[in-house]
Amino acid sequence: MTAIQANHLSKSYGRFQAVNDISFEVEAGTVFALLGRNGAGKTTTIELLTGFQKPDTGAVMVLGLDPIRDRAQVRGNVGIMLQEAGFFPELTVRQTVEIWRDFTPAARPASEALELAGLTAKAKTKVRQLSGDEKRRLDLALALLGRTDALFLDEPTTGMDPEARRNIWQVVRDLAARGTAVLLTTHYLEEAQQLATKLAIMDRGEIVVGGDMVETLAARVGRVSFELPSMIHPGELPLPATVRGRLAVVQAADPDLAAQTLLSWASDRGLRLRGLEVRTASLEDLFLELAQSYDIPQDDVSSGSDRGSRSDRPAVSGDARA
Amino acid sequence: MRELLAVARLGGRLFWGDGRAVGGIAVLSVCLGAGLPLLIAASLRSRDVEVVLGMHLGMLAMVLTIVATTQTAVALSARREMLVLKRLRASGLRGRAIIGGELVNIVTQATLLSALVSVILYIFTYLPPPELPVLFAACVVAVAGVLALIGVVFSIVTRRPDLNAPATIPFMLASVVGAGGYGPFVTGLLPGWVQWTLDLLPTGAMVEIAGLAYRGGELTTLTGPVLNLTTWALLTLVAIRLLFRWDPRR
Repeated sequence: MTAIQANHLSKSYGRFQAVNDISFEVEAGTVFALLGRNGAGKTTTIELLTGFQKPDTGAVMVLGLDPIRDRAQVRGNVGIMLQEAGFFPELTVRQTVEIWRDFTPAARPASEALELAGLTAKAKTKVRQLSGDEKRRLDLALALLGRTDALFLDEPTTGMDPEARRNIWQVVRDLAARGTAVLLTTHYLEEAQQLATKLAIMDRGEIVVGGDMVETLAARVGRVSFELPSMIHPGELPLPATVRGRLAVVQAADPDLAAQTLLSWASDRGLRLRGLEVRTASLEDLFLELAQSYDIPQDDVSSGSDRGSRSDRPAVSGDARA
Repeated sequence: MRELLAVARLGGRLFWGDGRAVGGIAVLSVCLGAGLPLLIAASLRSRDVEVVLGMHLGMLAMVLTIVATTQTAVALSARREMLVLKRLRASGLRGRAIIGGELVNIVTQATLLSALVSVILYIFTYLPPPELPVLFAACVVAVAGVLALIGVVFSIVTRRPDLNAPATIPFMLASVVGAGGYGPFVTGLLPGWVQWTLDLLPTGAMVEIAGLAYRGGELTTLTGPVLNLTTWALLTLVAIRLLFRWDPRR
């Protein structure tokens, strides 16, 4: 069953085309990753899907409803973790969750939401005393308060340590296993690869790659890299390779076979291939490949290290009204 | 309605749980609202109820403007800037519940403080309670509501949240002067057209309605003030509908 549907969505702010004719669907019980550099249009897309912004053209359906026209019904059944949103700093974590329970139909008990987000130990801490990581987890606790059929997570683990990130991944997996459709944006490609079954990569408001995660990656080549022996010229290698400094990279549809060929060739010559690394196609490779094709700055992709949160929205005001 | 009351409860909890806010707004309002009329009453050689009533209504205009207009403007713009309004909206609350709940909270505060100020004056001066107490209460609630709506508009048009409080000061001063809060001497110095203009403010309507509530009289004479408040309410509601923003301008 399709839980989230974007159909030819477009949105511009003045002359800036934030989202340009994008379409995709998220099935119930699956995780869909929306990827792209800062300014690619991910957050605008989430805001369109959640009814914070009205699309210029195109249509959005969430759980079969229009998130603008049927805002109350939609919001009652979805969880939203925004990339940026504030708290009341003087309230404690538990008070914040308890207050939000008043706003959420059929809300989970506060203790359950805190446990899901790993915040039980911080229940009595004032929000202003929380670290950035803990505030993100409180964000998640609020998004998970309702027993939601669709969950929108805009960079949910930004700033979290690896352990906290993995805990959140497990929560997301469990929710998807129970039938929740999850739409996730992230800069952590490892996160997307771990969680999502489908993906879309956006650039300049358009989807440049989209589809099933496994199929998309299978269509890409893997790579074998090693340190080129000092007396060997790249032209002597048994497979075509690109060489940067002393690092030789062979791209191949079957990187295991390419590695065997290279090792056999090296063995025949009594050579040792130092730093040999065999990698099947990863999302990071795909992103970097796209970076070259679409001139995406490569520092906009992270495979796991911490990075600050930056909105991908243009520096203009939103048009949401009362 | 459940959502609106939940937001109102939240606003009340945040306000009354914040010692600085209570000290800065509630205590100040009570001191101003009751203090000056008390001094005037004590300094008059003869009991002049009309002078004390004039001061009471003038200072009530100040209390209502501080509590309703300034506080609404500051609270909403601060919450917008801190992205709390956006988060409240993400929770599934309707926009009207978020704004309406805050207005209910503010109007409740304004009404309670006005009642406290009034009771202090009834106890410690010779000012009698109103002849028509229900009309007086309804007047305070209605004027507080309109002033809070004006506060919402201030939160929209003043783009920098740090300037919201100072931006409401000219409005507050005009309201207080027009309502007679600086005493009969200052009011007497105003040219007729200035007083006429200041009477168009919601606090001008308050002086008329509350004055009738204290002195008693025919309710039919209230058409003008009621029309005044209705016009202000409609204009501010239209402005809010068209211009209110949940996100900060960046």
